[in-house]
Amino acid sequence: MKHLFWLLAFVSLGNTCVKAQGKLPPAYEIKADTSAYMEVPDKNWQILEDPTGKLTIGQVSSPAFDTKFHINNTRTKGYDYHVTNYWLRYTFKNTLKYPVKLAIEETVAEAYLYTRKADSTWTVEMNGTTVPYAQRAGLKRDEYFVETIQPGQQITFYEKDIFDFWLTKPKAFIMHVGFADAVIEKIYFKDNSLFKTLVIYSVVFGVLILSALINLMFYRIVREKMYLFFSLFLFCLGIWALSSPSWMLFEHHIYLYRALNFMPVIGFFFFLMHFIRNYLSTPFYTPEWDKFLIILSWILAIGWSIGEFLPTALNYKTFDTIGKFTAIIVYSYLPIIIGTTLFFLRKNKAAKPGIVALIPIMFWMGFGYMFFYICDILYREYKVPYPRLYNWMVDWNDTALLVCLLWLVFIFSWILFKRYQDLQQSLVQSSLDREIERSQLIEQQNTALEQQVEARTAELKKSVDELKTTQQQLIQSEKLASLGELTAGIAHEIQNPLNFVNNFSEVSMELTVEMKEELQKGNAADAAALADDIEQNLEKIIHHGKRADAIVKNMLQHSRNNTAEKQLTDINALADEYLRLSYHGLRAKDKTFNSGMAAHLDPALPKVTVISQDIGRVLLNLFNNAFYAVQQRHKAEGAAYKPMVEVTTETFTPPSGARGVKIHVRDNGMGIPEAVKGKILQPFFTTKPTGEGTGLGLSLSYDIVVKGHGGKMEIFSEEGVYTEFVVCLLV
Amino acid sequence: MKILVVDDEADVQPLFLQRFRKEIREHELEFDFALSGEDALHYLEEKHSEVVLILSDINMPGMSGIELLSRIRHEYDAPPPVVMMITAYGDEENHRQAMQNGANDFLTKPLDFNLLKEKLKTLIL
Repeated sequence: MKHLFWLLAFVSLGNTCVKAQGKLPPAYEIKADTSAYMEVPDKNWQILEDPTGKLTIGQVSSPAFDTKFHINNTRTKGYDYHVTNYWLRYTFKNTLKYPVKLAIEETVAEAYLYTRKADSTWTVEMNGTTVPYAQRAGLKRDEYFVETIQPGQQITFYEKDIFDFWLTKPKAFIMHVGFADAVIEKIYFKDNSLFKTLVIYSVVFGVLILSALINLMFYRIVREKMYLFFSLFLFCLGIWALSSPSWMLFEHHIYLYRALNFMPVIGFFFFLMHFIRNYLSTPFYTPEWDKFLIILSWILAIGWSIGEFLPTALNYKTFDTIGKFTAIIVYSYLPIIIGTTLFFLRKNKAAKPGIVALIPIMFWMGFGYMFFYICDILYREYKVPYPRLYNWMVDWNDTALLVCLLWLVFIFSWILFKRYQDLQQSLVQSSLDREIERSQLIEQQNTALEQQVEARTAELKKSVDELKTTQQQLIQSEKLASLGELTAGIAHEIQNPLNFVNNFSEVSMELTVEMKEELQKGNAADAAALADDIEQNLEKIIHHGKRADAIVKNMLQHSRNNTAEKQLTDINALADEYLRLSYHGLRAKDKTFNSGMAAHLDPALPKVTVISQDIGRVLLNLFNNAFYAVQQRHKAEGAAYKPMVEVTTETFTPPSGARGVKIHVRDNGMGIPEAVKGKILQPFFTTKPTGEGTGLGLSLSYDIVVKGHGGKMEIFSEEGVYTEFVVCLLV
Repeated sequence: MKILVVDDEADVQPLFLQRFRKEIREHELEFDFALSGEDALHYLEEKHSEVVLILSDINMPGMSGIELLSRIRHEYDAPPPVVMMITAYGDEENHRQAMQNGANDFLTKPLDFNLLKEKLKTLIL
């Protein structure tokens, strides 16, 4: 608070003339000691500038310097801030009947008080803000020299004052002198304001720092800048509050204390602006005005900092100009903040509680300080006396300012806390909504997914059905294909017996006629010979008739579906029959082709229980493939190659112990290339040109042998040499 | 006149012998039989000059009738014997191949012996 006052003080100005004085000023006569303090009039003391700081007490008390002392002129022209060392001289005379203890107040960085002893030597005492406690004289805490003057005695004092204008910037020398006992009683016994200050400001400090931390935590959670700025604002305010009671902690760190004194004040103004900006959302509503507010806050912070840091290097006028400029900014700062808030009443409903929080400080600092300033100017320029309100406000300033600030902090904290609560609630609500939305979405997606799955399943089922149908059709067409191959063979097989049936019948008829003739001739022996021939012919007719019948039956069986049951089958007969069928089938297709064939059939082969037409189909497939292979090789190699297809049957004893039958179908054709071996059992795999093979023959055969009959089908081959399929069936 | 019949069906032999028994009895015709193309070639090696007419089946295991025909036309063509092809498949393709390879005639099974006899008569006369 002292600081703010100082700020006001340093911008005030006065202007009167300077008078030189050639001799010691008249002694100040102490006539009463009823008041605690008295201000020593300017005529009773003199000052001497010491720009080098090298003058000694011997020099300044010598006659050479006698005329250089002059009356205090700092009241009119202020300090020349380049000069930090000053000498003062004054005389006190005690006109009372008893000794008085004078308390001479010091406010400078270092002060030396010289008194001449009876032997003309000088005694010196030290005091001052930067002087450690231990070395201070008099009332150490409040920096008073205490000097006793006997009744009627007159003492002349020389005082050397060393200023540090960075620490304190008094506007002028003023000499205050008190009576030590009264001063002690007042400041140490009667006045407990020090303790009050200590307690109040410590508590305020604690509360503010705690609120700052809470707001920082809010900021970490909600990430809204207003919480950050408010937290920084509170932090600055807290540090600043600490500056009041903590000066005694900084005995050896007076410069740090000085920094603590003004930096938080700048920060406090700066962050208040940015907090209000974010609180009102000025960047959103009035971007241009917002820019102005940002610039204003920076001017304040920079201008003020310059004002604080540069005084010793500048002359008084420049310093004063900066000071005035900064003062104008500072005085307009709060009204601008409050004006903005009022303006936002219609835009943002958050402005209303903001106004409530800002009103007290607005009145006190915004308008009240302006009032101070005006009063000061009126007093200085026109000697208008200070009104009573002014004095009252100065007395109550500390308390009022504290109350206003705490009010602001309390209201804003409350608003921000409420806001935080609302935010959290809406956050929870929105996350709840999102959760509900998400679960609904998931449900929808699930339903959609289920529908999709159903649709896909239906599609899949359809395609599976289609596939099955296609497969059936393919199997059917494979059957038809093999049937087609059969028919050619069958045609040959039927025409041949028919040839015999027809011709033997015709011949037999002729023979019968001849036999009748012989009988009529009575040639019984010839007739009997003819009858024998006829009998033989009829046997042949029967044989070939049956042959044709068997072939037709077989064909019918082959074209029928797999409804047939397993029956004891003569594998030899089956192998022989299908070898021939296959051969003739191939021949029917390609007249140029021929092949040797051989059947090595084991006469002792047991009959096997199989579905004969299925095994027949397997054999047909194997024979067809064999003939196809030799045909291909024949085409490739020409007449030198002798095509050969062989079928061999044999019994074997499988590891399981039961008896088995092996059918080897071997050809000396192209052989199976290694690359193809693994594939030949796959459905639809074929090496034949398109249209010639379905690619199902071997796969169906494999299914029939392995799945249908629990047998085995093995393949042996050497490319360009042979291929042998071995079908193993259990008896 | 010696006729060679080539057919893998053994019953062809009694059939021909019975059908042409009168002609055989009167020594107009003489029949020899071969059960395969290879047999036939073997036979022709010795007696090709005696044989006037060859009747051959086309579909036989081993050497086919067409192949036999082609061999005869190349190896035993002086004097050229009459070769008639007999087949169960009376289709165009077989007929074309037979004619291309120099067959004199083409007959289908079941054999019409009356027709065959007519053809033989024209040959003999």
